[in-house]
Amino acid sequence: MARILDLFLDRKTNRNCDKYPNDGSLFAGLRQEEADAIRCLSARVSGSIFNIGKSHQLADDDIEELICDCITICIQKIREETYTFKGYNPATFVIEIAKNRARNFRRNTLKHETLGVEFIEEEADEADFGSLPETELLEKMLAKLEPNCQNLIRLKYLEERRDKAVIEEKLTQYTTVDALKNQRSKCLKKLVEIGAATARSNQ
Amino acid sequence: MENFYHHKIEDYLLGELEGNELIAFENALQSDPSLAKSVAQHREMMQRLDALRIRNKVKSATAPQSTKSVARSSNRMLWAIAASLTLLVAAIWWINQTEQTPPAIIETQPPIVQPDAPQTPSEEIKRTLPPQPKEKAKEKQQWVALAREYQENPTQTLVRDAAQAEGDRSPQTRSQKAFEAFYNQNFSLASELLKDDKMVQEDEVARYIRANARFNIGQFASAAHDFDALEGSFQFKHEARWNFLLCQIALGNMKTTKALLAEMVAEEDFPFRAKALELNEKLDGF
Repeated sequence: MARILDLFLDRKTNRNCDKYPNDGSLFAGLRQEEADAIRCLSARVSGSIFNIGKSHQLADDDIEELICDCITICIQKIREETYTFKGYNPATFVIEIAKNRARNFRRNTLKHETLGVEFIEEEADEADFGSLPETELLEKMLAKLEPNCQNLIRLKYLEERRDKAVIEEKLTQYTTVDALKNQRSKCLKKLVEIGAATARSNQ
Repeated sequence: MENFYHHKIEDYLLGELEGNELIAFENALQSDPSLAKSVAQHREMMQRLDALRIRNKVKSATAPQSTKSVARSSNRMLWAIAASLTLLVAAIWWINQTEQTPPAIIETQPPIVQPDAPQTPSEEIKRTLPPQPKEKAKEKQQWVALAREYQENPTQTLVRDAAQAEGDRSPQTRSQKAFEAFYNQNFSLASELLKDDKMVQEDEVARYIRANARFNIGQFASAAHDFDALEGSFQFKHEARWNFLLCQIALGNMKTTKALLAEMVAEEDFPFRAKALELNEKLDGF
């Protein structure tokens, strides 16, 4: 219904889908992490996830994060090849993730609000490194690194800069690729240690 | 030796180890549980970093489609119905009012809007030319009603998004206040806030909204001026062209109307051609 409304009232919403005339091409676009493919998928799932979120009494802000979480998880799974194209629209897959996550989100809220949660059946979360709490946690871990290490990690893993380009553009203090990689390896090790310490403190 | 392999974990996970180096690392991995554990921890951390990267990408790709727009998309029908009903009630009220006090104006110049004194149709009526016969006034009303019937107003989404273009945190600009006023159907205020030509010179959305605000409050000549200025707009050229025609109808410029309408009907790919055909038939009946 929401999609029909989108089409009826705001045709621009689906313009990003022009590049993806079928489900296979959209899937391929998502594998390449193309911004238009992400926008197209978002346009296709937003209405449905909004309704799912509302039916689970989620606030608008939480629904926004839910949409983002689900698309992120979808792309992650495509990258990991745990989700492969079988002829179905990727939107269907994302909406299924959303249903599961909305249920879990609501359940977690209830746990905080009431004591009578023993009747609520537990259900395993999707792998959710891409969810808002997880990414916020990672940002906090990164913030514990010294600025040079933060920079090295961000350049490689968040901005996907090639080591050679980082040296050529003098984005760090290092003048050779080997020196850069050596230092980054140490930084990553520190980050892993911070992650392990955080996990221990959360247990 | 342990340190050596531990420093190679990133290279290993990035697939940058080759030949003997790779074989040696994998052998060490089999025999050294602490190395295996460290590799698992590194792998998880790299997955986390990758997830953060993807999430940032998703966020930036979908940034214009914020929750509010998602919420709006589901509420659009309600807004559209509410807006239609409001317009209908306003139109009935306006027609009743104008029937009680027959208007006798044909706007020939863009009106000068005074600050803090937004014009309403009834005020515009006061700036009348010599009174016209009652029949002519009634004919004028018919033209206006016909023009209003076919008007292409900006979508609620466009107006709402324009009002929130800078985000919710920053203070509203004058343009945003005008867009919000338009969204709330306060067309006089919207027109007043956008009266400065400098505000619309570089901003097509602002000009389009001002043009429609002027149209809605009966300032058809000035609305026509704005629609005409949007002739070259990529985003609004068709709507502006269509509404310009409607301004001519409302102004009673039938010769111009017929010429423009004939052009529109002749253009197979004109988006409002069906409406143009329908309007053409109606005009023939007048």
